[in-house]
Amino acid sequence: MITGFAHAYGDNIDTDRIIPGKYTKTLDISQLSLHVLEDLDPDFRTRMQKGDIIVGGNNFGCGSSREQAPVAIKAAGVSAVIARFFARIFYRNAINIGLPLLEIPEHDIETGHELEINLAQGIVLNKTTGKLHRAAPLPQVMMDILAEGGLVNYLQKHGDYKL
Amino acid sequence: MAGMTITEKIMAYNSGRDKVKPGELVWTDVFSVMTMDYLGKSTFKSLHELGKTEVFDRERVICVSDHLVPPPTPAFATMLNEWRQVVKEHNIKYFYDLGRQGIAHQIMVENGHVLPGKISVGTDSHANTYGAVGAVGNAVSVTDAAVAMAIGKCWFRVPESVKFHITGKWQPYVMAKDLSLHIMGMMHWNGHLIYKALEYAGPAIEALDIAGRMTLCNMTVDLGAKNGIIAPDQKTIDYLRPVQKGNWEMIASDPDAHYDAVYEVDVTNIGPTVALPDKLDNVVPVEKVVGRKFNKAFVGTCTNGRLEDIAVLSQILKGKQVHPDVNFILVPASQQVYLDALRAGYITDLVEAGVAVDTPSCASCAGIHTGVAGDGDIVLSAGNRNMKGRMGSKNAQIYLTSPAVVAASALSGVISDPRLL
Repeated sequence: MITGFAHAYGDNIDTDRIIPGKYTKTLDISQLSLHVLEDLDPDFRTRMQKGDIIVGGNNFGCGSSREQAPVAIKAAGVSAVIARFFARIFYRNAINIGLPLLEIPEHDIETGHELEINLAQGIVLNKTTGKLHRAAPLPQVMMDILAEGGLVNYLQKHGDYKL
Repeated sequence: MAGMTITEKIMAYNSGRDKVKPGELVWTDVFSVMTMDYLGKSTFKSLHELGKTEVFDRERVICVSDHLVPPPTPAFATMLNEWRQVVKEHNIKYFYDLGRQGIAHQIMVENGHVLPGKISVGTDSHANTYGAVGAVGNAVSVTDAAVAMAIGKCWFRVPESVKFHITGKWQPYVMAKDLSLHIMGMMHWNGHLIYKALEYAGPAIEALDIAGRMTLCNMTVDLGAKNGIIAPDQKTIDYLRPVQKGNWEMIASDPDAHYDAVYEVDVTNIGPTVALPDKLDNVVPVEKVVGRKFNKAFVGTCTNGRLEDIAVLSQILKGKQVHPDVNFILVPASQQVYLDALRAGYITDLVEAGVAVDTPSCASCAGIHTGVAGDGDIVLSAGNRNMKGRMGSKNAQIYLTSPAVVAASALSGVISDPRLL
């Protein structure tokens, strides 16, 4: 179970606004985490608490395919990202580096709402409004990859995918 | 229960299932994995981080030198040397290095490393091209490619399918590229095709040769789609038979398959088409821009560097002269294409007309070598992307169009309609 407060943004949040290109020459996660969402929401880093949840609209993570975007979000302590839908390469990269994602086609989650996420069942409870949102549940193998912290860790441990 | 689209079938059968639905995540077998000089070394490094020293099948990990060859700087030459060393260490059977090179996507199709009904991935965005022969081709990151190289599998979210049903008769000098650009203008970038499986079908698609189908599927990535695909037919069988690296079976969408949307396009109404500088979806019929000056012409790339494209250049330029204010560079998509064009006499026609021909590579399309654009250049290109800085300088403008428009315009030095030649 994941719980945290929502930080909600609009549609088409691109990877440049998640982590500006000038910081992507490094994969040093402590450096990346300092600048996450810097241009989109300059106060994000000071307001957020560990475990908080980023909420987007349509096409979250579009633009450049940089793997540093989900890495920066995860390194900052964000526990999950919810969007109406994700840009394809962001979606892949997030799963591969172990950042949980949920697609909820319709939602009215706003900044400050308190959310409780059951990843295995794909259920998001908005404790502020009392609404229950359903996302497609992640298959067990995805849950396992996320639990191991990403694809590289998972494969190092298991040597193959377990179907 | 509704049937399945060709992409759904391929995702299902390669993950050992009878049926899949859009939105599901599946692990699939991967028939082949392509990596190239620009990202290949990082991909093999990532393979080692997985704790693997060997690839899953030395005949199905395909290595190509295309972005950096021939090396224009000592730094690129060094990168290539390191790349060659890494490929050698892994005992890769098919290594298409300088001398046997070509643009990776051309190499994959023309050598039968991608097959109908199978899934192939590559570390370059235009891997969508493989759909031209009925494969699911997909671009992946270095981590994904390393995993696929290690165990021959990759995970996918099954995409919703969208069908473009193309009817009508292709008009003279109208090419697959014009249809691609027309659809770009119709749908717009980052529009309704994100993550979709984009299926081309209908009589006007059946009329296209494999080269034209490659152009169409190639540019589906620039429409935001996950993959582009055309069901195999007799032309596919004939094309693949001499080169295929495995067995395969015919596959097609079920008549009752579900599509998120079906678009009808009559190609009879499409003429030569141009995307204006900086934005792929800012598309106009050539008539709107006739007379605009440009100084560089470029034909090549995984979109339009094939024999059929070079044949059109020869048809238009043979016995004539490129305008003195235009520098025209042709870069065939592979050594095989180059050789075929030489044997057909096209290269002679083009060199006599004043076209500079360079050795096969991605060339200026990646903005790193072979005729990059400088400040103030106006390029008329048969490539695939025209954002600022794509071909080099941010202060250059790039018009995208078909090889026929590039050739017709090169004669006059201003954008021209090939139908009026």
